[in-house]
Amino acid sequence: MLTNDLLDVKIVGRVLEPKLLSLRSSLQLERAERLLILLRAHKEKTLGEVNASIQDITALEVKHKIWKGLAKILIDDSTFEPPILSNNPELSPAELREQVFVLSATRGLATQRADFGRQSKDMILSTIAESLNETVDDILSFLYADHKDMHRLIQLPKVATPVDVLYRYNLILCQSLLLYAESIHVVLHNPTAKWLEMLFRRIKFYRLLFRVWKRDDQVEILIDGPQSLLSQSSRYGLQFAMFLPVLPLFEGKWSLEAKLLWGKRTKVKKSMRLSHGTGLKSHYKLKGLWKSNTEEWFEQRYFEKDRGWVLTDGEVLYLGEQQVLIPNYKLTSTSTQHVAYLNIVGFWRKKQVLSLIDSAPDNVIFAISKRYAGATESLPERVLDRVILFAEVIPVKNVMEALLKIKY
Amino acid sequence: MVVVWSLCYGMCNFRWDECMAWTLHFQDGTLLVEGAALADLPSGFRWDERMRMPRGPAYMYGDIIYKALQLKIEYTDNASTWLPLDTPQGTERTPRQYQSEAVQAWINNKRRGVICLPTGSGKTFVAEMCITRTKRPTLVVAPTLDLVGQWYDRLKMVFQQEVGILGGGHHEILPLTVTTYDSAHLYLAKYGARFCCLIFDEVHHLPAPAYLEATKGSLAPFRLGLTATLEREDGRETLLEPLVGPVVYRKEITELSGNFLADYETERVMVKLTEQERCEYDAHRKAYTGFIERKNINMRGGWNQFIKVAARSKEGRAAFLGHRQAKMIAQSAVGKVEMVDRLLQRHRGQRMIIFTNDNMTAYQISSLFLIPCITHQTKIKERRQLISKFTDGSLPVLVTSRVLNEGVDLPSAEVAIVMSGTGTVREHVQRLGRILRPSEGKHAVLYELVAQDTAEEYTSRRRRRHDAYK
Repeated sequence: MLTNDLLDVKIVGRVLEPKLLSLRSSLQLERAERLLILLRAHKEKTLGEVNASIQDITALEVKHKIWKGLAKILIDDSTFEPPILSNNPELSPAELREQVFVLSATRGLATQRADFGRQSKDMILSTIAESLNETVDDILSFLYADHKDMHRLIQLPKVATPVDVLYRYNLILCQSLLLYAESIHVVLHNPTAKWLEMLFRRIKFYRLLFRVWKRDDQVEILIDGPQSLLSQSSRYGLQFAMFLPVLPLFEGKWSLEAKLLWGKRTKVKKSMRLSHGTGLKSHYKLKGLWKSNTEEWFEQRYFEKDRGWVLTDGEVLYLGEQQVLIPNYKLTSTSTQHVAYLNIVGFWRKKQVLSLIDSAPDNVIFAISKRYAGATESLPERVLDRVILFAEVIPVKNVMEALLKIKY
Repeated sequence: MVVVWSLCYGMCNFRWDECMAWTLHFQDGTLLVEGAALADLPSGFRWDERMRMPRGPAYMYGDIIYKALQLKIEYTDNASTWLPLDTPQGTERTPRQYQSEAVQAWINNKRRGVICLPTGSGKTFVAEMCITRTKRPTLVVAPTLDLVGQWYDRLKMVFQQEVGILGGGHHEILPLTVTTYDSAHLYLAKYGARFCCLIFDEVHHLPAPAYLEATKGSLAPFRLGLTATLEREDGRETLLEPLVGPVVYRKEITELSGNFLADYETERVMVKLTEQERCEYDAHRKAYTGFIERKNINMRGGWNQFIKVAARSKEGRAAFLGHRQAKMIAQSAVGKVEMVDRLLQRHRGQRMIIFTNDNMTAYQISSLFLIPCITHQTKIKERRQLISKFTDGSLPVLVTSRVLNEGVDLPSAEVAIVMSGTGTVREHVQRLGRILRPSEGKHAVLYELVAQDTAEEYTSRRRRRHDAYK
């Protein structure tokens, strides 16, 4: 993330806009390239030396925020490791310090003056150097080698091209601004059930609260946390920031509006809007969006003939009190327009699956895997009309029968 | 009939009436009161449509219990999870009169409030007495990892039980736990139901906005703040009262010096810059002051304005860098280093702490005189080893930037050398406090090294505006 002093933004009234870098700007590309070259030239050098070189080229730059921001992103993406003493690879800097300081104390501490009757720094260090078969310079440079500034650049950043550096900068700038958000409002156009499931899994993972509603073909989710109700607080900002890189992976239209608490001392409300048109690119990998074999086999068999029901992706069913059910499929009758849902349950325990069935609306039927059953005992009679047990393939015939038993 | 866990005494009460029962839940630093009407709850509670029940900040837990009792409403407390704390009977140490008075004043104020006592006067012992008298799980919040380590050792020894640590790579929650302000900020909302008592060491840190907000996330009805220097430059100490309580007891250095604190003197040592340093200092300073004059920037409270204007031009950036370079020259002047060498010679064999304003100078001094350095980068294990060796005399001198400014117990320290620092009175008083722990025949000395004819003279005048320096 970028620190507060590196956040480059434009504020117009109540709107805060991140100053994203243009991917076509030769100036910005040149900056990114100069930093990449600088890092390549500093392989095996210390972080302190890398920072000093960056300082040399950026000290008098007016746009030092961008320079420093780009540099921070590249340094964060690189790997630095502490050096070792060649003849004493097992010795840690802390152990060396102990030897040096205790010896110095027993000799009355090092001095710069000959007339004080104490030994010079070099005299004390040479005693240690001799005992370790190292040079005085090596001892001195290893004394604080465990500190970050003394770590050496071992691996160059994974972001290897100037364009990718700018992409990463833009995403991290937006993420860093979300650290100041008190709530975010996300709109997704035509999200699939899989996408929503993945989003809600993340919301749950970050222990956030939400309200969700559907408007035409778009799903809107207002996300914040328990404390947001009571005070303006950006304590969920980190969760929002972690959440952001998922959105650019969405292939359809999306938007995010964040309410930010902006300002060092007096916090003023600002809003920031991002969307599919902002041009963000995520380096995250999409997980959990594949179609399972069970779904593929079911769809294959379902579409073999006209069933009188249109099968589409499922949608959000809001059950209240932070419970959302996103069934795999929605089924709409072509004759009556009745709507039902099919939810596939893999791993399950009797108690959990019963609670799920009880809290779901009556028009949701459940295909429950026998193979992944968490409890062997049978389900009670009262829910059996809404349950289709299956081994590998969901029997379409049983689904159609269950649809007829629902009271619409 | 509903079983109600009594707040103060850990007994079971039995209550019933016709009102709808309340059930208290704790969630992420907030308190949910299921079954309650918003109108019955103190202001600060709001209706949470997401959960369909009223929600308020966790620190209002005590008010809710009293409200339920007042309205004779049955309640079930699913929020707090603490049980009485096992503490050994009494303590072997006899408290000084002012320590007993302080504890009583805190108890009289419903076990809430701030106690202001000078460094070295035994604030930790006061806190131990408060824990013993309260007998409830307690979270101690301290500003640095050194202090966390110190509290850990102390509580473990006094209460004869394992003590948890939250922060600095540790994550163990026990009925007695110690943490830093930063970790409290991160985790108090999560563990806010586990502690009935919060103790804030060096409580003047608490009014920082993020920290203050975090304390709202704890149910703890009992709260104690400890400090030697409550007053802040920004005046935010006034915000402590609703969350910790008012100042319930106060004693100043001058009231305890000689009897309960070591006798001391302070000496300001003016140091000349070398010719080269003077030349460079003046050039850098000119770049800075010249820019301010040309841009007509009013520096009385205008630092932010300077930064804003300076960021717009190369000349401004040069002025900013000039300011920084000039400050560095004054802070680590050759004359100061030579003076440190002389003072090391003068006080050879005595325990000394050298304070700097920045890490770079601290490491420079460490490498020049081969003395151990403690900064925020020093790992907790090494810090504790160094402090232990300092105490037993095998490493008699330490250099540090700011991490030893506060609270760390260095009873044997006799001499402090302030090479550089900020202009705040609080920092200077705290640094003086490091050498004031009393011992037989101890006479403490604090040297303040000031680069002559530099901006440091003004900084020095600012930080000495305290009774302790008069």
